[in-house]
Amino acid sequence: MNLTLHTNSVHDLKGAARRWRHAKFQFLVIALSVSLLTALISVLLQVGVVVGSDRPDFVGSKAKLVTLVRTNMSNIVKPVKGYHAEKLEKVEGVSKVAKLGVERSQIKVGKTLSDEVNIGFLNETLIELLTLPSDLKSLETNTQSVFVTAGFWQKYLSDFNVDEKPQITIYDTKTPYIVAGIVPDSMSRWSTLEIGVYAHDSQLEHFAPFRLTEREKADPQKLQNNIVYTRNYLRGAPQYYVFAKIEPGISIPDLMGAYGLVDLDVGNTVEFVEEQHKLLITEGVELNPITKNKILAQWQALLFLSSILLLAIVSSLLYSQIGQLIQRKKELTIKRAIGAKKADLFKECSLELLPNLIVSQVVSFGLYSFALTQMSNSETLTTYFQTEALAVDLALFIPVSLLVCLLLCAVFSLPYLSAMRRMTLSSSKSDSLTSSQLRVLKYSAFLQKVMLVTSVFLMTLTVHEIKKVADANTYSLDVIEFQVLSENYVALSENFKAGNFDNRFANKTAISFDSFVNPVAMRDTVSIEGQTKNAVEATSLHVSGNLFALANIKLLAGKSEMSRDEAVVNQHLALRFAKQLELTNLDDLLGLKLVVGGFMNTKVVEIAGIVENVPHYGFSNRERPMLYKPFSTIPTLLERGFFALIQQPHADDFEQFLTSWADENAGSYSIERESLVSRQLFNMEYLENTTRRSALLVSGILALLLLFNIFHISRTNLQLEEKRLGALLAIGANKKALSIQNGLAQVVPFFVTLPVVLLGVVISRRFLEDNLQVNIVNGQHFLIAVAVTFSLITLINILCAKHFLSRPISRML
Amino acid sequence: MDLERQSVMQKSVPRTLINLQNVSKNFVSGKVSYHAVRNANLQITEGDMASIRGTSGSGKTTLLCIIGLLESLSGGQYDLCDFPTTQLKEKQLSILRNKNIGWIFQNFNLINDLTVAQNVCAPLRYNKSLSSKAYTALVTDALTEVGMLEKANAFPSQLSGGQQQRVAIARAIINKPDIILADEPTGNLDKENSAKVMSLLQRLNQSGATILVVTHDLDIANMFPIQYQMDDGTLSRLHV
Repeated sequence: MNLTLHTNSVHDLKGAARRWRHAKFQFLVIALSVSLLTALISVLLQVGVVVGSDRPDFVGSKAKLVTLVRTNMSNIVKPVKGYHAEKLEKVEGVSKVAKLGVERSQIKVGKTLSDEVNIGFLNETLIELLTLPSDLKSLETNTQSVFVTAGFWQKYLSDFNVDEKPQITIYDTKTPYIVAGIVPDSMSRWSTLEIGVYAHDSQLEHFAPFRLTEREKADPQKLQNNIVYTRNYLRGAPQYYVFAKIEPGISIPDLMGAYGLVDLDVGNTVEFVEEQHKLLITEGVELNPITKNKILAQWQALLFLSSILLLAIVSSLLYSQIGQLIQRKKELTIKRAIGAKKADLFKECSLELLPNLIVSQVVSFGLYSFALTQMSNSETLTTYFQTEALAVDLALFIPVSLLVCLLLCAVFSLPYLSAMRRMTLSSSKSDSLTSSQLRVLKYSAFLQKVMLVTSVFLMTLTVHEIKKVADANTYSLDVIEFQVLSENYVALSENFKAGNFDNRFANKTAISFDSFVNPVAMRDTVSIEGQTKNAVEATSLHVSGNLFALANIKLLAGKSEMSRDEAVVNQHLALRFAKQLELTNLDDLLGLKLVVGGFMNTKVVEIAGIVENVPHYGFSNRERPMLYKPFSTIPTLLERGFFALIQQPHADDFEQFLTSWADENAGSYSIERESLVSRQLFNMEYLENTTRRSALLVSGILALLLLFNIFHISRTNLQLEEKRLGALLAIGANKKALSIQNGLAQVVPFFVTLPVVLLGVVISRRFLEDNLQVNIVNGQHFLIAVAVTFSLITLINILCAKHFLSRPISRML
Repeated sequence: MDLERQSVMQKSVPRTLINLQNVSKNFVSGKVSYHAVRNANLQITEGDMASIRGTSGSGKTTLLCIIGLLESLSGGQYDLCDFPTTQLKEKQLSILRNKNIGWIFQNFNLINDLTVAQNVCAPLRYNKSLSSKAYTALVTDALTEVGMLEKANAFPSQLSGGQQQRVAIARAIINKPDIILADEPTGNLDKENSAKVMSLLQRLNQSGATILVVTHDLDIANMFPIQYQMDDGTLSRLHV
């Protein structure tokens, strides 16, 4: 007789392989649960560490901001194709054009990262104007070099050590450019330049030269060199930016009045102009508290969803283990009788779990990497986090992985170890469970039903509600924009103010001093009356009240029609004030008096309404405070024209009407018809691309897992009831009737779970509603979830019972 | 306490293996308390072959489980091989179960997914003083003793009841325990197989093993030189 007995470890491993061969389903459930758990904890910790950090500069936490640049810098940004500088150069009286502008371009860095970014362009004139080091002038001759902003560097290139001056190539539509240096982020914000003069006009003759200072009068040639024009093409709406250096003490209103400027913005001192021609390291930027709160809220939502998942996984494992206990009780008792210690059983359980742990940890690493990639690619998150901060971190993953493995071994062994106390080898009692085990089974089953309803509910919400909201907010407006410019603009605007168009095209037109899509806006300092210290800089637009309805800008509170002493603010600005006044309800802000101070005058207005945040600026996704003033309050000085929106299909009629009207009233004029205005809300894109997909994935996996568990619960219950069912069948009960009875047996317990689900939903509202921008307490979807879940559980129970009872009756007795 | 060394040393000296003094066991279910064993006194010395008879529900299996360290006491004192079991920790009790006790059950209680050899080997795996190299020889000896060596690679489901019980006996003796406890060892067997099992137990006793059997079968009980009677939780010795 050939007798081979392996060593203990080999014996245990072979036993594990044998067991999982017979329990493939359970193997999958455990492996999936554990991989989800590990990935989830790793991601949460990683994001949590960043969000939880109280460093004000966590945006730049891993790479300090580099303000400017290298000694002997040889290159600077050069305009790339598509830039319209040549048109500007034809303008009479301008000898040089500073090509400081912004374009949206597809940039590729390395092999994997690609994103749309803004590229800034500089030229010699601007370098001189901004008193940048003179040796930068030569950069213009090198067309293969670019400057990047500090933000770009942090986001994509922070792996490089700036001190080593690495040669980095980035690609703009396959054209390679060498990164020549880093400029601060403020370079891409016009307001921080020394002075920026804005006009919305496409005709350059509207710009007059600045009044000369005494010194400049003595040197007219220098004036020419100091005036810089730039042009920015966005969706066909041209803008010109003029940058000039002015001496301190010049009266801005005088300057504007004298030269017919429509808007003027005085920025701060150029912070990046440094005398030192070497690398300067400065502190990171302070994170806007609102931004931080937003991230924290997102993290809380993630945490909440994860805790649901965690609860489901733990309860599922517990149930699964107690189910296993029923099957293995005899084996465990025998082992106990022959002298197995708890440590022996723990070791056996752990070895048994080895295949699960290996598979699950490999899968979890994949999930963890996938989640981080998804998060890194989401626009919102990369706005706030560095890519580097969200990269795979083995120093974090490995301890989490070990911890989860240990926890799993404990969860896996505990039911066995605790059950060992009350085991009997009497054949009549060996199949029964203790009352505490039955209690755990009952609560675990209850919990899983709650989880299932909740996850199906979240799924229906995810699929329907978020999609609905996203669709409702991502659309092309059915309007056409007309731009009317005239020398006789006063008469024109008075005519509009009188509502002539409104009467003819009632509810189909809206007028705005600034374009809806691409406005050339003014900046005002806005503060609550009596609290001028906490002033906020807001972008002002003069609009007619029906602009909001026509442009589908949602009114959140109050009214959209404004009298001359009223204004509408966007949610961003409203929240700033609400925070200052510690108010929680936007309605409480209505009627609040604001002091609006521009460079022309100061005025007190009341908040008449609050509208949602809308990105008025074509390529800026950032929310900004907006103040909408009544169109009728445009200072005469500034009126040179206006924009009008008209709904399709009335555009042709409106153009005809507008032309005939302008012929009569406007003197010399120009009317430009713009293409359809497209409105894509950034948040909705984010919702579509990230939140919806993630929520769907999480709830889908959760629901699948729980469905498996419901099947398991049903099977375990049947095993517990085996003898009773066998006895009933033996005395003539019908198998079909028993199956249906089994399916319906959970009606009462199921509906008992509903109040708990409702409670969970109400609690979840706080965490999720603001972040997902959906109405969590949605009765219709809740009912759908209940109906779907109930049907699924009933069906599973019936099928399970049918299969279970198909065995010969003798085997059940 | 070095149980392992002490248990080996004490094997050479004849001694009282089981000493129960006023042992009682109560089961509480809700508000109802049930006395399964009442003030039981029992002494089994090395080399004894004793039986405990009683009707169903008389508490004999509970008493055997107490003796086999599968149940705790509600009251009284129990010394196994001179070890005061009430003062021992779970780990020490496990060592006693492994090295000092061999169990034989009415329904055999073999692990179905292990082969005969693996089942017999199971107690050795929990005996830390043994190297795995010794397993094969010990299992071969035990199976030879019960006449089941030719079935070493079979699974329990491929064996008859009598064969399964012989495998269970092999498992019970593999660690050469001080005492073998048998709970209705012939309860599931026919007469022929019952006789074989009893003959095997007697042979083991003659070779030095101490055996305590619980049974409701008077014919079986009467085969033992020392007999106890269990009635409604009360244990009394029969003088035969």
